[in-house]
Amino acid sequence: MGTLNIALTAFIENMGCEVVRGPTPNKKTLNIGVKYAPELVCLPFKVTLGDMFGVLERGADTLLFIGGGNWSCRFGYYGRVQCSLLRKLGYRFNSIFVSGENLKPVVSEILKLNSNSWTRTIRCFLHAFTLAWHKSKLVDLAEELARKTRPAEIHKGESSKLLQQLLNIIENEDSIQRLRRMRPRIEEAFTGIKQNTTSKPLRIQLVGESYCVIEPFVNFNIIEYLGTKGVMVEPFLTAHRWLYYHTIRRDEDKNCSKKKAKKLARPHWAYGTGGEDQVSIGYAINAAQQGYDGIIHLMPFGCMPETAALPVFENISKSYDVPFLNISLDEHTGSTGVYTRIGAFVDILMWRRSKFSNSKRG
Amino acid sequence: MYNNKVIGIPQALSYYYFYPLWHSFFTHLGFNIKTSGWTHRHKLDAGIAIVPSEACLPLKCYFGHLLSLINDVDFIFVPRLVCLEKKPKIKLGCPKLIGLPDMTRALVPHAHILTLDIDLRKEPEIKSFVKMARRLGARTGEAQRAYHTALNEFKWYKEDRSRAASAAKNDGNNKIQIGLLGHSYLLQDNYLNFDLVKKLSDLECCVVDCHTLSTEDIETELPHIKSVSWYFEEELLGAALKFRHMDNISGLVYLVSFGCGAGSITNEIVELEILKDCTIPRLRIIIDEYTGEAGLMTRLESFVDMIRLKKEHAP
Repeated sequence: MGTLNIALTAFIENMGCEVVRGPTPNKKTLNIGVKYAPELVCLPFKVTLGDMFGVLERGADTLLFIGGGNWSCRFGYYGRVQCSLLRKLGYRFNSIFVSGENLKPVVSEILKLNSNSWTRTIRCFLHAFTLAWHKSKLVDLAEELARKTRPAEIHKGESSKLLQQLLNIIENEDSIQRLRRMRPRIEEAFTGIKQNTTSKPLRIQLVGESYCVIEPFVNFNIIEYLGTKGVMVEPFLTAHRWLYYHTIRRDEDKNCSKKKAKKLARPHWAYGTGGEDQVSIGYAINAAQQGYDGIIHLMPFGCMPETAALPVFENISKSYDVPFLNISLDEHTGSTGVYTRIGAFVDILMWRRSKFSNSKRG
Repeated sequence: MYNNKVIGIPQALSYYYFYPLWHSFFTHLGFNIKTSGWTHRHKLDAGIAIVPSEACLPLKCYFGHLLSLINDVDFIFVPRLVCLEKKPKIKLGCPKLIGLPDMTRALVPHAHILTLDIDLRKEPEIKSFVKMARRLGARTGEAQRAYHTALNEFKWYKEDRSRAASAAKNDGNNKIQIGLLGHSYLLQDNYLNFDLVKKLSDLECCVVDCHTLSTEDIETELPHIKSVSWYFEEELLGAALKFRHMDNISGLVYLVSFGCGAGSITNEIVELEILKDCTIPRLRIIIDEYTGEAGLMTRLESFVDMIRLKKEHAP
């Protein structure tokens, strides 16, 4: 899921396991996933299933499945069904299910790795956790700065290049000390990018299903694409914020907290149904109130919570007068179609902005 | 006291599970009930016109029913089924059932909605019912009494239904018996399922609907597999487990609507976990608003022919 692998690899490797890195999601892994997944299941299931084939081919002997709680969304059953599917196809592997309610098997597995010594395990865990924490904070910072500088940069592509360099540095760094000192360096590097200070880029809030918002392969790298076209895209969730929120219940968003978003959404959508529907709606309202130029809603085709929430989004768009674009993604979605729709949407936003600024002057 | 007030209940989705309960609750409080009747093409079309195209067929059908009622009633009853069972495991409604009142407000802003939030994690069912009744102007004691009577009547209704079904089952012993799996709102709505039961009986089959199995039968089977947390799906899994052990069942038909999220997962669980080593022929029918009757007929005929052939060649 996006750049999450940097933090998670650091964490798991320092817990004493070897991590088998599969290929990043691509057309080939997706096709394998689609071939074996149930037809009507949502896109993230198919993509992640394809990834699993990739890592199993490369020799992984244990798969970690996330999810499996009492959810109304299908995500809670991903691990269970994917595991049985892979076993049926003849793959042999150990499976560990990570879910909030039942951490026992995970803990016992970790203990086994550290020759059953609690002190060693805890020391190991603390080190791994701090390292992963620092790495993920830095990645999140670098990505955020890249999102902000990209629309106004004078030499196109500079921020993306810098981001890639920084990600490589962060990934290969093993010392917590040096990671700590890296923060100002990253900030400095981004201020070094020449910016066009006169332009005021359009601001778009990205909401929807978490996997579609976060994974660039699935959403056709919409954030970077729009960034190079001079539009600032603010996703409601980034890979690392997703991780913090679902592991240590820490909300890292300063602009609009999850709690605030839920409160805003409650009159329109009273219950969160397991996905990010309620939070998404909250962010959409927040964006409307803060004067964003538009809202883009990404979801996998047939997503249960987001499909149900769709009329509510359209209603918000009408009552707050904010343009809203819904893009539903599946394995047949092509980049050209998505880019055309986004392009047309951005044109509308530009037109609206010029119209409203003119009428204000007049 | 409330004799002039009419409450409308759309005949779709959870209607097929809980209508007897709601009906007796409201009538004991003195309200008149109006349902929207059976599904027709024009109702379904009205629903399809306003609901997002990706939503499942029963949801589109629901809004069609709701629109057909809206001008004749004082309130439209739109329940919100969040958590329907707390112990031993939490059982939830699907996201569409959880968001139903919110969707209604967004799609049909002029509707007078009467909601009932059932969330057992927060409060017992009786409390939710009393709250709703108080919003309508009833007194607490009155509402509690109405709830208890309604609950009893609902229990009798369920017992009657399974008794009637088991009596009917004994009739067709020499016919091919086919187990039918699917949500009540598909299996009982003969417009949506193209009169599936009748089509199968015309092919000289006897159909065992999964909802006519008794609750005890299903509950004794459930511990054999890991549970799911969707309330309506759990029932289907239990029924599939039960069908596996019934010797006279010679085929399974699984009816699911296109875009049913829970269905795509439970289908796989049935295939991968429950019927893993089982040789019962099964047919999965996915229906949506474009499904044609002829195509369905062909599939059913060939399925039944296959079962016959299998029986003839059986040692």
